[in-house]
Amino acid sequence: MSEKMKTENLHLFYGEKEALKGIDISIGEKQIVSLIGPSGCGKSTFLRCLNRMNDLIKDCRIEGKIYYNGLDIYAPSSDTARLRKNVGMVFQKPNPFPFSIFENIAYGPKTHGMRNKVKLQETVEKALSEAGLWNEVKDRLNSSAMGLSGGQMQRLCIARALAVEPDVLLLDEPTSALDPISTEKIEELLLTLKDRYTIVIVTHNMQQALRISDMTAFFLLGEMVEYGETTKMFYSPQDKRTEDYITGRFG
Amino acid sequence: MKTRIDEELDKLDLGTMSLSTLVEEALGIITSSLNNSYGKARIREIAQEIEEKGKSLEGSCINLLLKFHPVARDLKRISSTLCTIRDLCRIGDNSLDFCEMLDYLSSTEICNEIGLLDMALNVKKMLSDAISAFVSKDAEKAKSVEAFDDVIDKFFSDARKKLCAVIRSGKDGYEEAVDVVIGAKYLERMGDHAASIAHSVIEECGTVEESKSEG
Amino acid sequence: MKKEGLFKFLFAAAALFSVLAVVVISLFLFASAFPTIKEIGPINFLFGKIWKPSNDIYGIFPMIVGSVYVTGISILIGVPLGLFTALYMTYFAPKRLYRVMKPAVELLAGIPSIVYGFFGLMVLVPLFRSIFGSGKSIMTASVLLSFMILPTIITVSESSLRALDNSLLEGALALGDTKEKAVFRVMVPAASSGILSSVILGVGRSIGETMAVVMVAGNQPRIPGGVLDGVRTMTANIVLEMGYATDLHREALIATGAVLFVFVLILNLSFSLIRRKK
Repeated sequence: MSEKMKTENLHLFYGEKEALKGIDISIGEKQIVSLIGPSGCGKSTFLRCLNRMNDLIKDCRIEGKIYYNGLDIYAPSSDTARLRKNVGMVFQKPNPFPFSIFENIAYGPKTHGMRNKVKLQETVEKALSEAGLWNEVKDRLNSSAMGLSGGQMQRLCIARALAVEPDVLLLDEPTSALDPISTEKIEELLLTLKDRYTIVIVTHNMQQALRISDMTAFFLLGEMVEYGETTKMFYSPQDKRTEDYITGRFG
Repeated sequence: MKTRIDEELDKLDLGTMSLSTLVEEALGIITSSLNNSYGKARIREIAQEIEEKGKSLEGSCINLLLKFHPVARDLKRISSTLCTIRDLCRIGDNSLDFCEMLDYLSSTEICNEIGLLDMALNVKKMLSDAISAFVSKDAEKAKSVEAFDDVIDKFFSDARKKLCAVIRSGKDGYEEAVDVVIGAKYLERMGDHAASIAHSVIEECGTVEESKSEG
Repeated sequence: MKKEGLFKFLFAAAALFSVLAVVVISLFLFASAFPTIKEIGPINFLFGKIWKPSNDIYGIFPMIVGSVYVTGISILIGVPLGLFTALYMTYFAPKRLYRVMKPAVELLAGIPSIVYGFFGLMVLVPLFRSIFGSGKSIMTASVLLSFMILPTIITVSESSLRALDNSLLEGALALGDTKEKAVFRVMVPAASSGILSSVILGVGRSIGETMAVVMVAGNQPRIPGGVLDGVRTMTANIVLEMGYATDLHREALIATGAVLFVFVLILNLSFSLIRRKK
C-alpha cells in the first residue's frame, strides 16, 4: 500500500508557543486514520497542516516537512489552490453557504474553472450521490441549503468537498454536533468512501475511532504519543499514557 | 486513580472469589465421599448455588461491557474473569456428575484400587492454586498450574488402563468399572478447567507485562 | 411582581412614543400638504418645471430631479467605496491599520453636516472649478454627500460582515478558492441583508441632507442639463425660503417636505420588499 501523505519532524509554533512537537506520521492510501486525544492536544492543528489551512493564521510558523504524493506541500513551486482541491476538508460545525443546494455543491468546481452547465449538473449529481444525499434532495436542488437538517447539512458539506474530486478527505470531528442516527449515517458513508479516498478524521469519540478507522494516532500536548493499528492500540496499547487515556483514567 | 469501573471490577472479583469458595467446597465433598463420609444432599445444594451465582456474575460482566465499553487492560480483565466464571461453573457441574456416579457404586473399593482419591486431591489442589493465581494475578503460579494438567492427564490415562484390565479380567463388579472410568473422566475435565483458569491469568498478565517492558 | 408590570408599562410607553411621533409628524405634514397640493393642482405641483413663488408658480419637479440626481450619484459613489472599505477592514487590514481606521470612520460619522458643508465650500468647490470649470454642481454635491454617507455604510456593513460565522470563509478556502474571491462570492452574499440595511440608511441620510448640500449645489431651481450644472434639492428649497415665506408659498414648502417624506417611505418600502424576497 502506497503512502499518500507524510510528515517529517513537523513542528508548529503559534508565536512563541510550540503547538506541535516533532510529528512523524505516514498515512497510507485508502485508509481511514483517526486522530484521538484530549482537547487542545494539537490534533485539529495537525489536521489543518495537511491542507495548509494554518497559512491563514497569523503568527503561525511551521518547521519540518509535509509530503503529499511524495511532493513537499510547502515547496515554492507548489500550488495551494491545487493542494486544497486534492485534499478536501469538512469541519466540525456544518457550514453550508447560504445559497441553494446546487450552488453549494457547484461552488468548488466553479472555483476550479468548470463552466459547462451540463458538466456542472453531472458533477453535482455525482457528488450528492456519493454522499448519499441525492435521493433526499434531488427534487429541491434550488432550495436553500439552510433548510436542511443538521445531518443533511454535514453530508452536504461532504458532497461539496467530494465535488472537486479530491483523493484525501480531512474531517475535523464531523459528527460531534450531530445526533446518533446522523452520526451513524455519516460513519457508514465514510466506510463506503474508504474504497476511493484516503480519510483522516479527528474524533473525540473513541468508539467511533474503533468502529471505522484502520489506524489511530494518539496526540497529547502537541506530541504524537502512539500510532498504530486501531484494534491493536485499543486492546494492547504500547504507551502507558495511551492506556490511561483510552481507559478513561486521565487526570 | 480509582474510577467507577475499578470499583465495579473489584466487586466482580469478590463475587468470583465467593464462587470459587463454593467450587472448592464441592471438590471437598468429592474427596470426602471417596473416603466414605457422604455429603450427597449437600452436593446438590452447592451445585444449585454455583449455577445461580455463576449466572448472576456472568450477567454482571455483560453489564460492565455494555456500560463501560472497556478497552485495553479493563477489557482483558473482564474477559479473563468471564472465562474464569464459566470454568468454575463447569467444575461445579462436573462435581455434581461425579457424585451422582458414586451413587451407582456399591462400594468405593474399586475407586481406591485405582487411586481415584489421590487424583481428586490433586485436582482440588490444582483448583486452589489456580484461584489464588487469579486473585493475586500471579503469572508464575498460573504457569505451574497449567503444567500440572499433564500430571492429571497421566493419572487419567493410568486409571483408564487399570480399569480396562479389570473389565477384561471379568472380576466381580467389573460393570462398575465403566462408571468409574466416566468418573475419572470428570476429574480430568475438572483439571482442564482449572488449567483454563490459569491460562486466562497468564493471558491477562503476560500482555500487560510485555507492554510495561516496552513502554 | 409589581416591578415587572411597571417595567412592561415603561417599555410599552417608550415604543408607543416612537410610533406616536411618526404618526404626529405624518399627520401634520399631510394635513397641511393635501389641501395645498389640491389648491396648486397635483400635476402643476409635482410635475411643474417652474418654481417662481413671486408669480405664484409652484412647480417642484426640478427639485425632485435635483434630489434624485444628487442622492443617486452619491449612492453610486458611496456604496461601492463603503463596501470595499468595510471588506478591507474586516478581512485584509493589518491590526495596526485597523486600529487607526476604525476610530477615523467613527469620527467621520460624527462631523456635523455644516462642517462638511464648509469643507465642500472651501475645498471641493474651488477644486472642481479648476478641474471642470464648474464649482457648485451636482457633481460637487454628490461627492460631498458620498463622504457623508460613507461612515454609515462602512460601519453597518462591517458589523454585518463581522457577525458572519468565519467557518463560511474557511469552507470556501478549503475548497481551493483564494481569500479575495471567496470574500466576494460567499461573505458579501451572506451579509447581503446587513449591507442592504446600510444602503437604506445611507440613502436616508443622503436624501435628507440639507446644510451641506445647500452650500455646494448651486441651488438654481431648474432642471439640470448635466452633472456639472448647479441644482436645487427639495431639502435646499425648504431651508432657503422658509425664513421669509408666507401663505401659499409657505404651505408649498411644507408640501415639499411631505413629498420628501413620501420618497423616503417609498424607498424604505421597496428595500423591505427586496429584503423579504431574500
